[in-house]
Amino acid sequence: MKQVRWNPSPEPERSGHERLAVIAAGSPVLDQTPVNDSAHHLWLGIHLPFLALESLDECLAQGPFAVFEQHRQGQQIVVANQMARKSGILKGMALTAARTLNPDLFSLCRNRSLEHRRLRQLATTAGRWTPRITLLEDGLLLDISGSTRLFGGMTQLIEQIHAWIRTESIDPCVSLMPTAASALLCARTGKASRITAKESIPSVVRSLPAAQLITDAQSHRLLVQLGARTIGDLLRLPRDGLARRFGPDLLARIDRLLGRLPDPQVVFEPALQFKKSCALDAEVTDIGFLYPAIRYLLEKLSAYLSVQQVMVERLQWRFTGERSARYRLPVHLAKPHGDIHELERLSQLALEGLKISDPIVNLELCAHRFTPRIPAHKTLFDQTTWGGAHDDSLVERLQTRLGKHAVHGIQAQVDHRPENAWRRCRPGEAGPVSGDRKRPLWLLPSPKAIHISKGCLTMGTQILRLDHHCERICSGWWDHQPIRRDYYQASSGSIQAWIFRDLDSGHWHLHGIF
Amino acid sequence: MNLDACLQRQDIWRGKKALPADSAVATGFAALDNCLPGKGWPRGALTEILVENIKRSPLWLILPALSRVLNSRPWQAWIAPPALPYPPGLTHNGLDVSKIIIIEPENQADILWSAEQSLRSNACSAVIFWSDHLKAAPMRRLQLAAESGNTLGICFQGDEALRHHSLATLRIRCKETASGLNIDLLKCRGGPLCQNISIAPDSSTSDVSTTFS
Repeated sequence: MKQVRWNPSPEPERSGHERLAVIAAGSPVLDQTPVNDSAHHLWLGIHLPFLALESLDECLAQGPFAVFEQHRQGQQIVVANQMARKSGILKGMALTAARTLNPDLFSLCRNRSLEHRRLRQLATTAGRWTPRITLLEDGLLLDISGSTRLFGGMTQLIEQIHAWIRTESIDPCVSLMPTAASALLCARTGKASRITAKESIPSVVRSLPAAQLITDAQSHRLLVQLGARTIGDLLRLPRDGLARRFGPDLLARIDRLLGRLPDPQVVFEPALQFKKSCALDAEVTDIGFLYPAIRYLLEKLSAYLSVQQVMVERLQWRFTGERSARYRLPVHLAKPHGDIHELERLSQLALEGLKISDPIVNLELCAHRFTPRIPAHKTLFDQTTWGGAHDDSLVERLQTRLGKHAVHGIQAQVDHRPENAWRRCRPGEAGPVSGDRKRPLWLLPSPKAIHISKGCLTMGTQILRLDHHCERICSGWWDHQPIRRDYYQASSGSIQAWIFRDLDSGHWHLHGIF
Repeated sequence: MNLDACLQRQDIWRGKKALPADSAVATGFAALDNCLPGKGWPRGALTEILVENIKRSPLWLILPALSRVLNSRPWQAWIAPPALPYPPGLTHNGLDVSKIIIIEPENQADILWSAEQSLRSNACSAVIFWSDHLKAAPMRRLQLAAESGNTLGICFQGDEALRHHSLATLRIRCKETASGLNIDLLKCRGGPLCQNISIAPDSSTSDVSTTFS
């Protein structure tokens, strides 16, 4: 069988005869002609070697600390902190062996969900540089090709991202490559390269261990038998032979690594949710002492809002008391807000109504509902007739202090039944225009019975005189609240009353006052 | 503060004729307008209306003024009304209910707080609130809030407030009569205290007395 030599550059020289031979070798993948991805990407691979450690709250512990993973055979160290490494504890070591090396070792089981949460947090922050972010198991991939100009050039941008990730994580490796797979590979192997051209990829990855491309144990043994230790060794091997020995998957992986096959990535979309808590140094009984913490959390929220370019619709404060009492305090916003000062004012207002019996030890701010930020624009000439205070800020303030239910608007409804001819609504909501029949200004919450004594309708001590035969209202058969009533206007002294006679029972009731 | 700004102040008395033109809102009742110094409810001030039964507050007395000022600002605050202000009835009287916010505080302190916020906010064309007897300090505070927001403030109170001194700009007392109301001016800054002003709601009534067996 004719062997086809691997050639990293696009293959113009491969003859039809050779191609046939390749197909004869029985590799389905080689049927696809490797294509160059037309869009030019720049991938920044960020590998976080201590992610398993950093995602745990205990990572700040001073003593030797290690994270282990439960295997079938036993517990194996995944990552250890500097103190632990000093005493000779290494990755992949059995936990029991590590304990022998250092009896003071503090160890915790690996928590993947916490790691993922930490990665999501980092990805959310990284969203300020590029929207195209991919979450990996142990790091992030950032496609920065679209953002280089905005941040003053590629070098500047990488410097910024590098500076940020160094504050967030221990020993991160940042590597810039033109393909996602190569960026990932370089970052994982700790090679901080800065390559922008696809042609230079082989020269960088050549020296990297071949084991990085191959995951299963059997292929791994085969690799050792072949004597291929580096990726460079793999690249020198004939393609069809590789496909036969390792399966077509490896070839596809190599093609993606070198940018000869497209390698689409799943873009991370941050779930819009803000939750941040702040443990207080001392127990707080006076609300006034909470204000600095509130301001701190609101500043965090404000930063989040500006990164996400959104405004918040609803806030909730949660307080935890010393004896684990919990208080929840919603802050009602009449419209989405992005202004931290307004949010602070409203939060303080909401807090005034809080009664605490238990000293507060922890404070948490949650926001779930967001809307896209609309840039504020103002007219050149202020045309408002009122002092410039925003329309809704009054309603907001009132609702925050008194509760949402205590501040509402009213509107008329299209219904003949007087009880249903109105409803509560949000302030400012316009309802249908009601009919032109005369109606009272006050309606009683429920009709009040009127007694008949000595042949006259009496209310208290006063006799009611009927003024008008107003109208008969028979309605509501469809929703099981039917009424059949004759309404009259009646007067007694100065009171103009709206009364009715129930046609079914014949009783009289007072229903409204004009 | 210059002279013009001084003269704009409600608490400087300059005699009957010197009041600025927009310092009052016509009540809609000629008999009452003629007795009030600015020919109407004073704007940027607090008006106290004392009624015999707060649950039967004569809303018709202030409705014409309320609908007159309604469109000047985004809201109109009604705080702690004793019953439901009925939207079909209000619209029938020419009031756009979509501008009304009904505020139902749970206690007296919150009533006063809401009233002060609304009066001061510059966003309310009028603030009407129903309250227990107002002590001197909160009354003064509300009066100042109404001045700073240049808002029409109206407070309905029961008759028992008569025993106490008032700090409001205008205090009137309404007595119910067969045809309407009989109004006494108890305190009126910048004008004489007229008594026995009779006004009636515009509705005409035919006197038909009916008895039932």
